[in-house]
Amino acid sequence: MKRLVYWDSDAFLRVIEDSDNPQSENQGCRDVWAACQKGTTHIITSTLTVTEVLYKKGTPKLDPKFRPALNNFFLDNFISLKPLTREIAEMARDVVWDSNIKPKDAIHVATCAYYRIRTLHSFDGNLVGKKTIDVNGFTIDVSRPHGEAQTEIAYEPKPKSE
Amino acid sequence: MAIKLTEIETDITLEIDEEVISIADYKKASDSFLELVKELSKNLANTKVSENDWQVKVYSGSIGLGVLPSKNNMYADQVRSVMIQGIRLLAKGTRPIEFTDKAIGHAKSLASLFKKNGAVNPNVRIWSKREESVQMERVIAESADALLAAAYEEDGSVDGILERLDAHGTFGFVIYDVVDERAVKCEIAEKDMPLALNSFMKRVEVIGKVKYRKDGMPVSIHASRIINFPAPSEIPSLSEMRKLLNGGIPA
Repeated sequence: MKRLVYWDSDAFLRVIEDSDNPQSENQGCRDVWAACQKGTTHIITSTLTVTEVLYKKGTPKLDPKFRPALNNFFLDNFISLKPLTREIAEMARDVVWDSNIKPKDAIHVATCAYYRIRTLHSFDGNLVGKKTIDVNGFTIDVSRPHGEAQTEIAYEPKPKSE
Repeated sequence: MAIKLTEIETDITLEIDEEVISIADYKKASDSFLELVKELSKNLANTKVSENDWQVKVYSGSIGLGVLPSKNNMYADQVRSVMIQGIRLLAKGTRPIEFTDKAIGHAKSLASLFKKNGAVNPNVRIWSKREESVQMERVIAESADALLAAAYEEDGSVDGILERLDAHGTFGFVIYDVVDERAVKCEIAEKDMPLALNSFMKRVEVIGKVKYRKDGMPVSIHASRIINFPAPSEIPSLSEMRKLLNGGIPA
């Protein structure tokens, strides 16, 4: 069974940004990416991410001639783009109301909940600070990106007594 | 013959209170019940589900089948509770939040047993230990149909692995989502058949008029375009992407 994680656009920007920096604080991003390349993890994201991953803060917008390369980046086998439909937009509105989350972030949270993904990775302080978000009865765990091993160490169930 | 309450030893038990049932109905009942347990386990465990997490007990003297959690099964109580509550919600026409499409399909199968009896509810119950039970009423099958049926049409796109092709009568194929293997039927024009054939067992994006269920999940699409996913060599690496975003200088 593959591990499923939802990534907001921040996570994609960080993994790209740090691709050449082995000492980076964003090791978790690279761990997830490496697991994807091994076929043990799959990333789900909203089509909104395609629009958001266009340039870094403080740098000029990317030349449109690089459009095919940018399009192809999101068509890797371990990434699934999920469209922003009316149902998700309405669910996102509930998230804005119920959880005090900004509309664009709420679209990511709602997409994650709609597709029943329990793990959302983000670098947004407001989202990560909440740790869990309840969307119409479905609970999402929010954290900075991290590899699977971290979860396994944190959870060591005691055997049931006879 | 119904199971005596005092005989129930399993956590979740399927009871079929019929004197004689056909092989087909018995197979359908046991398959649907065990698959429902497995599907909810997969959805609720939040970790890998082992084949050994549940053990099956067949009750003698009656048509009963139950499952017991193994020592390592930490999610059994949750599955038991969600199953009973979920079936009650389905009977009211509401989608249980933890029920996947597959789980709804298995519940529908159990509520559709003994069709020769027509509209009469099947004498099939699911027990939560000895505490409570829920009858698999016909209305559950009707609710499942309504929840899984297409309700509206909009322009859109779907993607998945093209795994089934059909040229009998109409031209089309079925794609399966890479994550949850949800199937979407794609209707295409005859001229697109060669492209579909070339894309067999590959991931494709299909654009066109999508029929959605009431909850927004795609069911089928009338395709206007089929787009192949790029080959690995055409996908930029992280390093190449970094150079692009740092001023548009490709690697």
